Amino acid sequence: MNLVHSTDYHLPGFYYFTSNNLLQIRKKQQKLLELLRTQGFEEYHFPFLVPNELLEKYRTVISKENYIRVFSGKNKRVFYYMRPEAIFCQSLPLASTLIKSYKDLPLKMLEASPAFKKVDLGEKIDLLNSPEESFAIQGAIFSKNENSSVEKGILLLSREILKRFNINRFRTSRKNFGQAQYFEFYTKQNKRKIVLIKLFDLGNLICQRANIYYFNEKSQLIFPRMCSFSFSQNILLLGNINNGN
Amino acid sequence: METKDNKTNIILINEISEQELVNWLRYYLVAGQIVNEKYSSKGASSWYPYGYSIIKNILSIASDILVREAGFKEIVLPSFVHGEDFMKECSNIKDFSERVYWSPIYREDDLHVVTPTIEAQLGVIYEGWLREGKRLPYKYFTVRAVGRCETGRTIPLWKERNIWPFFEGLTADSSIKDFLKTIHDQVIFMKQFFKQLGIPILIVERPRIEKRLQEYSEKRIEAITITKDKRVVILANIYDLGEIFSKVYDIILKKKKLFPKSYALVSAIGFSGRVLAVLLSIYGDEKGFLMNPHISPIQVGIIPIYDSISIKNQAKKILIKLGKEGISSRIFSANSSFGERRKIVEAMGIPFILEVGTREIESGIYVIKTRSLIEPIKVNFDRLVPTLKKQSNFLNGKMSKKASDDFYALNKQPKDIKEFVNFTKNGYLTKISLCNKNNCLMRATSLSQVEVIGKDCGRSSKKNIKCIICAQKAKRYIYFGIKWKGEK
Repeated sequence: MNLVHSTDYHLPGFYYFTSNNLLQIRKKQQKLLELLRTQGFEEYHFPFLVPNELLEKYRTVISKENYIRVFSGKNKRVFYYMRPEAIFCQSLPLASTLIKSYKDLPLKMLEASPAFKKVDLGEKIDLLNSPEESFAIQGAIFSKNENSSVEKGILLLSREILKRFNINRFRTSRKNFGQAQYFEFYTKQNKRKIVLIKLFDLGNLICQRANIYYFNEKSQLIFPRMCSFSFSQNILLLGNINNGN
Repeated sequence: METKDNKTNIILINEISEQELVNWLRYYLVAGQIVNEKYSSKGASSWYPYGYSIIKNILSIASDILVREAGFKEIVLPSFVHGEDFMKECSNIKDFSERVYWSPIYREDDLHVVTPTIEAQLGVIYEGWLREGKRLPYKYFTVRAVGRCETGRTIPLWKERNIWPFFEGLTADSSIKDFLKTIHDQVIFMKQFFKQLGIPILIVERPRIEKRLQEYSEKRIEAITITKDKRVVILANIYDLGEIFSKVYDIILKKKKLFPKSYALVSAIGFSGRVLAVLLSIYGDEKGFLMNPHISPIQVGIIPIYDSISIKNQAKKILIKLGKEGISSRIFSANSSFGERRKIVEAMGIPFILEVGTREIESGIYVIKTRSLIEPIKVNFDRLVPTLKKQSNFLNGKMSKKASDDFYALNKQPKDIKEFVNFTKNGYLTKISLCNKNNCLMRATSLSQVEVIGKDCGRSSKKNIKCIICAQKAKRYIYFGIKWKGEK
């Protein structure tokens, strides 16, 4: 792996990256982004402080305990979460604006920015399980209600990406949360589970809660389906890309 | 002065007020697909793909120059800084701990900080590197998001709580000579960077008359410009931190029994997305932005006049032809009226517009239009690429000239006190010669009733020049002007 310059950062579980290792990891991240761009994804950038009310829309699917809470030094009652991995809730206000202003669906959004999760002190905390992934890639597809093939497409794409990065020994798991489904791609190292990809097929649950809708040809109000995902930086740390592939 | 700030018809003229400029910017940041401030909390913007590509191009220009001219290297830092490390920084900045975001990352009783600046993070890392024997100089920069809990008004790209991008560097040198060279190289960076972007600037040094400034740094060098509302904007800063932070973070060069400790000399450099806001406002007009062809991610907006298969195919053919020659373009498909699509392309500031209709297909003659500044030009299909390349350079030159003319029209150098008072009263960025006496500076400040912007760092001759107040030999040029509301 040898990608981290040093593990001497004062805050345990957080890492910095410098010149040579930075170039390597950036190159791999660019490759992954290119693969996603060829599938019609466009890169956006969203705020890293996510207000509680946005996360609240996911209450039946995720626990807020999984994410890192922050509050302002002046007004401790106002709190946010650091950009949570996989659920892409930070995109909802802009997605709403775009879809309501007749942006063609599917809307395919992508963001290459640090993503955060709460890591329990009882767990092993290291670069493969860090509260902050500096090179995470996250995204979402908002698609027409009847079109459920999008989620299958992302699942296929996930397999394809892992293969491209020569990560062939991976497993998948699936959980149901009412209307929503959660998929996970992971690998094992010394019996330790290392997550590679997280994917939420959220149906139209979130768009209903966020009041994101469009009108179809019959002027009926329709809530799009949302599928969100995150490609962990672990893919870049563990995987290798063949030149030219 | 005539301005309309309703959403459909905004007129931007040279005599615009600060609030009108903010309204104009807010409107076109969305219409031009740069950023959208509609978010569930104040002071946070979401970037559209077009805006994101523009800012990435700008950041890439900055990184290249900083690496090439000033020998910096990039570092990617975590978004959190240890609470104790941060509190050391607070010893030099009043109330800073209240203006940041805190987090119980692991435990409720153990708080850390969403990083607001680079000093605490790199200060600690540099201390460790020196202890391990890694040789100076250290020159690292990073581009990331920072959190600042701003309580005043927020303006997208200008003043936000979720600040992205935040471009910051921190250096550490072992000798005065190296340190001065580092500062000099950073000034060169600022000059080259803003020249490449087409933003006219002045390099000034903030005089040490503000107590708060003295707490934080030994010297502050700023790249400033003046916007159409006659407000002075600070675009980038270089802080001479001297030993202030190396003492705080123990960045010690040597420890010998009989000698006192010797500390590294530290400087910081930084700018934010505000650079893009200023760039957009400099070249903006009543139709939106105008992007420099060398920065714009889309150089040509191809607009099919109406929806037909042959027109679509021809538009695609042009897109491919231009793409092969390294000219990026986008087709604005006929899913809305021609007028609406044209408005979008104009608002985005895409430098060149090509309309494609049956007349163009039949004749093979296309008209390359620009938003403003240069006349439309007719060209044969086969000559599209070379003509566009030539026009790009031509437009670039025209844009720089216009920006420079506008900038100097708002800069004045008075002959006497009466003119000085008049210029400052009218909001011009006014440069006067002064002697070194503090009294003369104070007198000029009270006469003008505007702020001291800074001391000219340029090479203006001071030979035979007299102080505008006492008529003795002048030693410095000082700029006076009005800053944006809330600007420190």
